[in-house]
Amino acid sequence: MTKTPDPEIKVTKVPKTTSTSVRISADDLYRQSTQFRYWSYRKQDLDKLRVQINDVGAEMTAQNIANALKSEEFKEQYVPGSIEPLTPDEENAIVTFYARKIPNTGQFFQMNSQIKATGIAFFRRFYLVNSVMEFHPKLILHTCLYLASKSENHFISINSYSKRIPKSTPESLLRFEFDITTALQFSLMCHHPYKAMYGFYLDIQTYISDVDHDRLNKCYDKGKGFINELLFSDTQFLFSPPHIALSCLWEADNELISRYLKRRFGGNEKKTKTTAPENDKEDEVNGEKDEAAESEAAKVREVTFDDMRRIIKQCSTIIKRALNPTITDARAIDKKLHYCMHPEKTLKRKREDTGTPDPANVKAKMESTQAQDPNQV
Amino acid sequence: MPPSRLKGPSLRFKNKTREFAPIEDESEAKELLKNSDLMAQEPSKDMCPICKTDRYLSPSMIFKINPECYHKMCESCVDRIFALGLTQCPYPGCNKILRKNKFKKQVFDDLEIEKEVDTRKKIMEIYNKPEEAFAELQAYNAYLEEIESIIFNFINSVDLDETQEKVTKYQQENEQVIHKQNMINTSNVMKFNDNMKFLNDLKVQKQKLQKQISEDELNLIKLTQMEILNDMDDQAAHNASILDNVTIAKSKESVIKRSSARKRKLEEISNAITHSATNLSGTSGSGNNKRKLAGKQEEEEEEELAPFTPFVGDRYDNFISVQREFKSMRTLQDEENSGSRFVIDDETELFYDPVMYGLFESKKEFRASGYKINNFFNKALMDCNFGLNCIISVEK
Repeated sequence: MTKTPDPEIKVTKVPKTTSTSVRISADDLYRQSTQFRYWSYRKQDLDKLRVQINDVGAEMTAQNIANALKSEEFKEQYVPGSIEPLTPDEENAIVTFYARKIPNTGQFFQMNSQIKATGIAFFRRFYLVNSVMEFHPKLILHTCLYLASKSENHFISINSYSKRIPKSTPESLLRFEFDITTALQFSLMCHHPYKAMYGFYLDIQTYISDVDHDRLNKCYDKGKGFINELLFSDTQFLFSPPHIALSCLWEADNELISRYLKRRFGGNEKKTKTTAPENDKEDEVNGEKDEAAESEAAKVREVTFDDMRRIIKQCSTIIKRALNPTITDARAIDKKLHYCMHPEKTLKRKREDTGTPDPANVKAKMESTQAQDPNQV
Repeated sequence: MPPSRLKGPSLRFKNKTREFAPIEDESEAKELLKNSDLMAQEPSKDMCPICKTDRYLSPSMIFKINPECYHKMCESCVDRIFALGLTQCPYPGCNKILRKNKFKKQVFDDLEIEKEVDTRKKIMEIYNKPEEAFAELQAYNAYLEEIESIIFNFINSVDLDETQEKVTKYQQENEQVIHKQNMINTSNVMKFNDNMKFLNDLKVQKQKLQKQISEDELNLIKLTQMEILNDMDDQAAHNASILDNVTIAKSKESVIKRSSARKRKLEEISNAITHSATNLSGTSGSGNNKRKLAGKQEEEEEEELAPFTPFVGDRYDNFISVQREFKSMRTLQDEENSGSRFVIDDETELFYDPVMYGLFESKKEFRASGYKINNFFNKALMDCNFGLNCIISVEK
């Protein structure tokens, strides 16, 4: 697991606040969490990581092709360049496509949203360490959810779990469990925005005492929906749970949350207004390079109104650009993925396309379509 | 063959063994002799060693002892020997001069214990400072230690003269204090006894009432049964031998009235009992508190212990600080709105959340082991601050 950053280095970054005289804030606790240490990235680092993993996957594909080239038949008919590895975006799309199946499966086992969210987080984290071309998502998907049900204290026995997952045996489900936990660096604790959102639900009442409760309830419910949607996006790697929660609430009710933000963070506004002028271009997701230099100072200071506005803006762009690949897109990627992993199958497909029906080929085709069928879960 | 012949040898054998037995167990026999000697020296518990009267023959006999030498004798002997005034102890070898009025009834079987109790009583009347008189626990403990060593010396006759001298000296020096304290002690004892008597009276009353109430209840049940029977059987209502419904209802009413009055009284009495019981325990357990008040009062206040928390009390007062903030927010708004709507304490609902409040009210498991809804809110508020100031894009 050399692809993930070394945890040792991250630990030293955590400020030493454990001496008895210093109070440990909730933020310091969050900085100690594995979610922050292992699974939080800047946008550009996340993109870089995806490219790196894609490179590894491409290498695997090349090796698969090389292996297949050993057979004479394949060598004769193989056209160089006909099998291409997936791009990083394609990988992300297929992962998102499969991740979107988790809530349905979870619903089937009456899991609450916390467990489902953890399952999705495990699944997405796994593919920040491994390439799709190495492990097919459909092999990993159900195991991730099973692992989440265990780590979130909603135990289901593997037999009853596998009974209700079509085409699975306890062995097939458990086969990759250790690979997954290793990829997760055994950090099974996930902090989701749900709890933070409830905290804000209370905190808004504190700061705006004459708040219309019906409106707040509506905002809260709507915000929850946005959280459910953001589970499939990269927000969990880019922002801390309260930031996501606040952004979702803001998306649900701009006016109310703006009022809250002004009251909650408005005190800092005057101090920082001169140093951090409003600038939309700087607010863009990619413009933080210079800010990294002042990271040490940032750890001490409290978040300001402008910070919050910037974060919410970034988050809401992600909410609007939510990735939801259609079945046809996913099928195309899955097909490509299938050939990456099994280059020799292209040959049979070609032969089939030319018209000689072969019972084995028909079966293979059925299998591949079943794998893509979204209703099978 | 005649049967007598058969028995012959076996009998002879038996006799032989009998002859040999005492010789073989000679040492055992000696011991037995020694024991009987001892028995003679130490008369049995129930016999007066002076006149040899046995309790078996005169069951009304009472033994008396004198705290000078602790030799026991029966009451009639005491009367007989000491009728004419001071006389030497009749025990052989005892030279103590005894006085009749110092004789007293023996309480403990073991004379050693009798002696110790007497000594202790005597010393405690002199060394009677209460715990409150000492500023520190250590000093009080040293005082107790001194008392114990004096008692030990008296009982075991160690340095008798010196100890006696010490005690008299102390008595002379602290005469007034001792007298005062003795007065207080006796009054305390009297008070305690009065209270106990009062309490016992109350308890007796309570028992009586309880019995009456249970009888009333039985009566009531009987009456209702009769009523039901009457209702069921119309013919019975005409029957003169059975009470009709009207009279039953009347007697029932009176029974209910009486029992409710009794129940009220019972409640009063039980209240009084608990009240006086707490009073009693309050007076008996006040020693510690008083000493603390007399001693390092100020220090105690300073050293008031805070509950241990791993985060320097951080989590502990998180909610409190929120409450404080909340309060200040409210007061600000009150100024604006001119009219206070909220009072912050544990009872008022801090937040609007009918779902959670409903759950806490309706389900027992939510309130298990003292878990409060405020704890839940506290956790939620912590969650919304969990990483709020961590801007990942800046810090990573």
